[in-house]
Amino acid sequence: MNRNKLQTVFVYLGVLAVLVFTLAPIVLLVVATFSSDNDLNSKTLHFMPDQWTHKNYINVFLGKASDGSLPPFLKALENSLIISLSTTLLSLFIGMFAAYAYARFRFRGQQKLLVSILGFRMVPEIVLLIPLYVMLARMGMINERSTLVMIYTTFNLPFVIWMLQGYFRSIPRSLEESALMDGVSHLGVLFRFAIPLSLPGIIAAAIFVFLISWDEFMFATIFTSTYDAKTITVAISEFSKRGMIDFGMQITGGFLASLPPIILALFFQKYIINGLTEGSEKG
Amino acid sequence: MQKKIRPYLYLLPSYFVILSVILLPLLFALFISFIDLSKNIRKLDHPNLWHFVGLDNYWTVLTSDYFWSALGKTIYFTVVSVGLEFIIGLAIALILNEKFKGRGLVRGIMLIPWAFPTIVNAVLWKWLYDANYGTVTGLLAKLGFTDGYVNLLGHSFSAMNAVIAADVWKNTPFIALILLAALQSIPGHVYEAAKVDGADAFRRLFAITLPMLRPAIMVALVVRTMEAFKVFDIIYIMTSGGPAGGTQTLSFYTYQSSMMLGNFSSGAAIAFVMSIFIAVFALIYIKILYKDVE
Repeated sequence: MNRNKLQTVFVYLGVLAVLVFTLAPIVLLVVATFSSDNDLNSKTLHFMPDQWTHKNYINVFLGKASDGSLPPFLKALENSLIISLSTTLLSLFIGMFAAYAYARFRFRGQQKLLVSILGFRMVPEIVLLIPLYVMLARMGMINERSTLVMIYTTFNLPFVIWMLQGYFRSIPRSLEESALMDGVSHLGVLFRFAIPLSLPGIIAAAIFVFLISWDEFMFATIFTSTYDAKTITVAISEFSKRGMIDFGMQITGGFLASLPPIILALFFQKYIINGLTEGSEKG
Repeated sequence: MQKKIRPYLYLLPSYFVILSVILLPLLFALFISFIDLSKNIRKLDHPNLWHFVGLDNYWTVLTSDYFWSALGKTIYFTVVSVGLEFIIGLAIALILNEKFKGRGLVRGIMLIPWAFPTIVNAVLWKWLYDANYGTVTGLLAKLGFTDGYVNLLGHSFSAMNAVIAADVWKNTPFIALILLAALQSIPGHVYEAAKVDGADAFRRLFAITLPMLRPAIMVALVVRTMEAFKVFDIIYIMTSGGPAGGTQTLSFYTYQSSMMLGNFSSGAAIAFVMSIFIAVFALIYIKILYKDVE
């Protein structure tokens, strides 16, 4: 075998290894969602169930929640969608102005303020858990979707500002400058030029914020007490409560909850990669 | 005048939110860490019960074996998981940078674990590790690595490593993705020149690829290190810090002290000591970034 052929064989072996590493747990997960309790709880090692069933899906969707013993999955899904979408829109809307100011204006304390933004991004969330809980409980704001939106928006803002200011900086100034000469206001320039021109960056930032909000668990579980506000990650963790773990439901609910982020990630793959590269160049 | 104020007006909404939801609670936590609430959060309502104890809470934390154990577990988790994620991530990036059929598809598939919510990842691996019928448990027994079915999450050392393996599966794609993007930006002629000079694949990796990837490697490592140091969700679901504190990381220790045991003051103190470690990382991070940008 010549050198080139050998190399090709190695590459394909490597690709095979990557696929096995990535897909094996996912295949087991998907098969498990269609397995009966007997198969899930069987001690003999087998990869395909004896009995295929869609019982887990029915249980997850119907929630069996007449006695409140199992989480109403659809309600949690709705909460997660509303919370993640609101967070995405709000943090982009608020962060855009700050990002534009950093990218296009010169002002006193600019550099220090920009670095302070990075500092806020690094505060460990657990430090804020207790004081925020005490403060919000006093104000009667526990167990509200809007409270989670507010917290998530704040935690995502530093990242959004940092990323968008990088994008705003990378687009040419000339269009904006001539528009300003023609008497267009700064806000007009922001919305008519800066935002449309940096749309790929804005989409990338939006995807990241959505994924992070969808994924959040610690605040969601501590700051909610009923399914008025509980999110999907909390619902999945609660399929295991009440003394027994229902792996079938937990895994099926988990699989369903993973579909929106997976689809988003695959669909917007290019934007995510661009976002990460921009991020690694500009922080 | 208007021109001078304008930038600050643009910053106002962001800073208003950040100051009220991050800075204010941060100062409040600092305050709590200097008084003695001794399991009674209601004392906060009565200023006459505020008993300032100076650095006592910090002293209690720093002299407690639990804290040092949690710090050790956190460092072990961070170093081993980020280390493995880097090595596997680099290997994946190098493979997916080669030319082969279906490359676009494989790159997409590689991303999937990263998109899994942390909680779902934890649930999935907890099931795979189940002592009675987990697939991983069964495989280990069948292949002769363990003597029959063992409870992987039931012993400190194996539980920590099992959690790390789950974390590695989910987060490796993040590092692979950053490194792959950086690899694609290395111009091909650099390699051609090296080949002409007779450099073999290993020489090319260490003399060209890795040095040129340096900025991307630094960013990937620092971002992951800071995340891993704060690890909470996966521990909460898979082990709840157990068995016998075997997976008790700093975040989980803080949570347990304050939310489960009600020691709000020492909880706040632990959190601040932890923040100091993060701040050191943060300073290094900012330094590296500025160095690489300039």
